[in-house]
Amino acid sequence: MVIGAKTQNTLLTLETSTANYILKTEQLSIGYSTRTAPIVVQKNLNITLKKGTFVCLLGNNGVGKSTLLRTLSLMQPQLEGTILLNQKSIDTYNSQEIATEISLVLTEPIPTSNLSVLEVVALGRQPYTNWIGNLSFDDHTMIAQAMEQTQVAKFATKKLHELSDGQKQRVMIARALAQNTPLIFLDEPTAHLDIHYKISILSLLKTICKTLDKSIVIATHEISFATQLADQLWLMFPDKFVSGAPDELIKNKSLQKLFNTNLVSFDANSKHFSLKHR
Amino acid sequence: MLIMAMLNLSLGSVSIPIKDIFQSLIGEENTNKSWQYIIANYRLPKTITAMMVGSSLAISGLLMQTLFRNPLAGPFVLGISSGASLGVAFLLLSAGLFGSAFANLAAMNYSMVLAASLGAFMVLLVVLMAAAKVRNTMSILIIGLMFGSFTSAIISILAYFSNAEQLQQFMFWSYGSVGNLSWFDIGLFLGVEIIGFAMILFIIKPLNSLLLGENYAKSMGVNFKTTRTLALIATSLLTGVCTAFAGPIAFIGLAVPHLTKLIINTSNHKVLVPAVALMGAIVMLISDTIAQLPNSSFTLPINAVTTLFGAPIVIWLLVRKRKILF
Repeated sequence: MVIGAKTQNTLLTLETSTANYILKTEQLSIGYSTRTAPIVVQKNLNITLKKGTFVCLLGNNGVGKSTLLRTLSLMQPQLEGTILLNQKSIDTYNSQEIATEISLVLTEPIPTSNLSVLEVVALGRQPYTNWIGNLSFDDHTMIAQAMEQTQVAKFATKKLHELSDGQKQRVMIARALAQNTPLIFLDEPTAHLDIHYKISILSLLKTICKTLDKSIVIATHEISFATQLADQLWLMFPDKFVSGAPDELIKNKSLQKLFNTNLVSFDANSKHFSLKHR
Repeated sequence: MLIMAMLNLSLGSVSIPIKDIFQSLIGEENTNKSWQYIIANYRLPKTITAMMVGSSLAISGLLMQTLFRNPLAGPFVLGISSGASLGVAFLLLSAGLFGSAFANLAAMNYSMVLAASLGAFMVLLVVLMAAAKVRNTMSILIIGLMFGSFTSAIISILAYFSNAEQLQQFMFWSYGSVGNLSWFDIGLFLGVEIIGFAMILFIIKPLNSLLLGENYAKSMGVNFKTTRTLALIATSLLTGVCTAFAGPIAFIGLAVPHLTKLIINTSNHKVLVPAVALMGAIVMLISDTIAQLPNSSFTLPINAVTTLFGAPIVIWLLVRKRKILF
């Protein structure tokens, strides 16, 4: 009966809101289950993500940004609540179906291997290829396009271990693009990049988001770029979650509270955190 | 590989000209009946066994190295061969502990194979049970290593209580040998090997994405648990059957994947799997040929040969290329 009531509920929200929510969470708790009591990182999260929006997820170190992204992409189980992907509970998807909906770029280091750049980007096509992984003509087009967009095509034949950290990061982003999913989650995608590639990757993601109508969520510490580029900011505080357009959040001073210390202050005009003048 | 196989066939305690080997292989009447007998019932089975053992162990090693992302992993990290050794040790050495009840059994040819298979299978079950419980892949590696230490401890205890003759019998088994297999044994071996290889065929694709780590593989649609279970079962089957028929052959599983990767310079498992299998077969054939000590009646323990000649080669390749990659 409970399940019946829940579907009913979902249908209602569907009718009242518009159906263009690609992802929606209800009373979601995230964290880690241990043998005794679960470690709750964040709870009561009610997040909605519209199609074609560019979202930046901001918050202190350790506040649960990565945990949220991992939970939303089914890499780790939610503690409580539901996640709806395309109005369907995310638990009903199998691992291959999820891979055609959500692609990921993670912060974890990539093990050294002898894979070439081309091979890594091609791995992004795995959810679509047959059992042995043969690439079709379409797959090749998609791979070439992804490498062109991220400017990694010029070292396509290089081995992964020969690249710098920044180049590796762009290859991993190319791989996520090749996966061609309506949703892309990136955990600090600009961490190893110089300012040129920081801006080029972020604006590329923004362009992809707009032209291909994809939803992109990035966890980042680039607050000034985030406020300039994002359609929406998700702010994670230890005890609450706030979302909204950047200007709105600056106006109601939510953004200022993000780093509420006596070391830094937020300047609403330049959209910048800087050292506090004493 | 064909050349190596021919070489392996042609060299042995009794020297037979290559021309005559060809003749008997394609079924022509040979002038010398005893030569023909040696080839059909002794040398050919041995050559085939060497190739099967080499390819099985090498592929198992590759699987474990990719799965555990550890260059030191090999087919024996799961403790499979330790299990097989324990089975054989119980059979051969327990006579000292429990009287001679088992002594008659030990005389039987198949009891050794059976004991090794049972031992390997028991360890396989325990490892798979542990794998279902343990989330961390590295823990499985350590659990396997612990099994190895555990069984060798039991074997030392058994050895302490057994007499010299039994001990020698066990030592001979642990030297490894690719000879002494009947055609029926080979059929059985081949059957298991085909099952193992078929399983591996289905995890080639996920193995490639596993090179980027568990989480990335999952994000690209890999069902990690299924892949891991398949890899563990395939490895256990292959190493189990090798150890049962040929004894614990060292080194091939660990070194051949590295040798192959250093030579062909790719990590793509679609290329690596067949290449490693081929390389394993070749290395094992060479080792066996050396072990025969051409034109003498001595036969060296194959286990000693694989390591004695293989280890320096790997060291040399690594010193030259400097970097070890998956």
